[in-house]
Amino acid sequence: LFWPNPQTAPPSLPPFLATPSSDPSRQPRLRGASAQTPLPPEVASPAPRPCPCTRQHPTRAAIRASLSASRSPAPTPPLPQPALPARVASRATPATSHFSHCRLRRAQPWLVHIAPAPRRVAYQRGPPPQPPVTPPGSPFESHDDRRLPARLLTREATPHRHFIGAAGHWASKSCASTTDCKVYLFHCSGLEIGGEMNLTAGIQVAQLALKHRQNKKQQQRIIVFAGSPIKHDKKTLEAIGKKLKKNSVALDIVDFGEEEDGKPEKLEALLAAVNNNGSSHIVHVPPGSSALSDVLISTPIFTGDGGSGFAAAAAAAAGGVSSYDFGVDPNLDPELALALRLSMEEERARQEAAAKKAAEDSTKVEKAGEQASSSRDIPISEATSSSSALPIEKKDDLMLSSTAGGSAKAQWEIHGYIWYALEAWSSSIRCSTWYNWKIFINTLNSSFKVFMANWWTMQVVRLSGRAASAFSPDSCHFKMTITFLCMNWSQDDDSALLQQALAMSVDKPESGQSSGMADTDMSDAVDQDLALALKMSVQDNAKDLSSQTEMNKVLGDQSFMSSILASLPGVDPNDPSVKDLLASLQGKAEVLYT
Amino acid sequence: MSSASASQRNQVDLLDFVDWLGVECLNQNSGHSLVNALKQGYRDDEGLVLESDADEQLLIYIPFTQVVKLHSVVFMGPEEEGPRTVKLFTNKEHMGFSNVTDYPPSDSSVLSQENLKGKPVTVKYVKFQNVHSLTIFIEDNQGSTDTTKVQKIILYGST
Repeated sequence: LFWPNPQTAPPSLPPFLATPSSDPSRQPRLRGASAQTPLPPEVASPAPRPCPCTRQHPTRAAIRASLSASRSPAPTPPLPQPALPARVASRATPATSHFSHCRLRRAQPWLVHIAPAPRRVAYQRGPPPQPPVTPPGSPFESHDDRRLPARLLTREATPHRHFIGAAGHWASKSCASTTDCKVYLFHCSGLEIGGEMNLTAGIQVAQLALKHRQNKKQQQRIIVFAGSPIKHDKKTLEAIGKKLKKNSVALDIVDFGEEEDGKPEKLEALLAAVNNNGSSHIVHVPPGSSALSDVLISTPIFTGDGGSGFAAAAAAAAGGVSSYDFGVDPNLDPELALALRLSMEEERARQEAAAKKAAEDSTKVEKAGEQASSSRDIPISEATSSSSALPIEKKDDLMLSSTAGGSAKAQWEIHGYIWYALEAWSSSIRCSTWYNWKIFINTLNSSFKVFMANWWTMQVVRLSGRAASAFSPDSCHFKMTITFLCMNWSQDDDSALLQQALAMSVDKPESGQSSGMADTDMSDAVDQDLALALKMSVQDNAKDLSSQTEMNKVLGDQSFMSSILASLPGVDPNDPSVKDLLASLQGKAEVLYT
Repeated sequence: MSSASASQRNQVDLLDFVDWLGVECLNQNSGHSLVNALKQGYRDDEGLVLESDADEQLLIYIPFTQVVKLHSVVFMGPEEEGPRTVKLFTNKEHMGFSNVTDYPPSDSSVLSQENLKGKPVTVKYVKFQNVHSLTIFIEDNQGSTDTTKVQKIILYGST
């Protein structure tokens, strides 16, 4: 539709129709117009309409000029307003008013080349994800937060790990099966806390994940960390347990956090339904101030089950750690590596000397020598009969291995790496658990029986006692001290050393934690302690059965034990339960060491 | 399954070809395990039985050291707790109770009291010519009791 006079054009038309372009090639042919009767000039090229806008636009000529300049071979830098595309440029041929130029932009926005929004880089990597540290005042710090979900780990004897968060109505699998500990740690830190815990759904999902595992030859095991109240009843849990047992899936339960009534019983019922010949365990972790990893490292979940399978798991998960002699990187921690190596040599020399003595001397000394060399077997067998809470018969095969070298290496691998794994995880749930005396005394009980005879173990105990003031709860640099309490202990040769160590740790009354809990700061204390330790280990070679009675004396010494108790936090020595335990401990000690 | 005559002249007991390292049994009572039913000395002892644990179903996986042809199977057990419905799967590794219904069994049979006394059950010839591993799924027992007891399992076949 062509309106010759824009003034007479109906207002309903858009302006671009009202004012025709003056491009002759785009002039519509008029009826009545021919070469003989040209269009009147005001029709053919109407006067340009004044632009209502107040801006100064470049004329079309100017635009054309700039475009022609851009068509030159030299590439122009990108304009702040990008150049108009070619077909727009072709329209801008004759001189027009600002209005037309304006019209162009207004009326045909699709022709105007607007610079696109800057494209976002697809994979923008921020800073590496850190496990979230719960600020001190946050509600998640205390154990009785109702919103801790259950976390499920599906694990096999070799480390294929699924990680499943079980909050809410369904359980969501957090990461795929992986042998890499780092991936699972990352997902640990990425989990959110909230919602209700659906234990059965989580276990069923874990079972499904196990069903699709790659390595079908190995034993199936699920580790459940149950922090929230359980909303299912016992019957449901028992049914689940039966199903797991039927499919020969072992279950480890860590009961921590929120303590509603009936939760421990429910979990015990679940364990009883699942337990097939002692392959499943449960650990009740009461609320306290120590980290979950500290408590768990001493339980059969990490020391007993699966035997060498778990150790292999830890070793393989450690990856580069297992390639080192003692599981400790000499680059990262040279003093520790040196200490370990020296201890190994000392141990071997001591055992050789003891064996030599055994060969030539009388029966009394022979027995001591035998005990020195097979020291781990005897405490284990005794421990089997008398320990109650922690089934020591499930003790790690590596504990029983004959050479000191092999067992030390493997123990470092197990405890060291899994320790770090738990450390990182537990820092993300900062559940504050105070250290229950009962659990501790049971640990000590078993550990007195089975404490390992390596002198470096003693070193750390001593050092930790000395350096207790340097304890900082946030450093996970060297928390392996707790592991030493749980290792095998040969009671005859090193009781004197232990006595000294305990005495030294007791000397520091301001140490907030016991010798087992403190960090060591090796940097300052290494040199003089190394010398001292060497001296001591040289001295102690002639220990015999008589030293066992020393241990009896140590344990039977009421004042000594109560002084240890007093140094522990949160423990009241006058508590009747504590006193009962002391009495039972003494009784057990006599049974063992006679 | 046809209750054919026991023509086992050319058939041998496939016990020698069982790969003992890979033998598994799900839902067995740890005190009464699969060896009681399979192994030479144990299975002849009437007192030693394979018993199920959580419920009455059993899943037995028997791999062989070489490819065998299975001809017939003997299940012996007590009258009440002996197996009744038995399904056989060939060459399926690592089955669980959740996927016994996923594929049809190579053969299935309902055992009678005669079978429990020692009468062999002849399996379908065609499907058992190329057996590398055998999975036996015992679905229920004769008397619908809580646990199933199997006293003896004998596999007859040839290589």
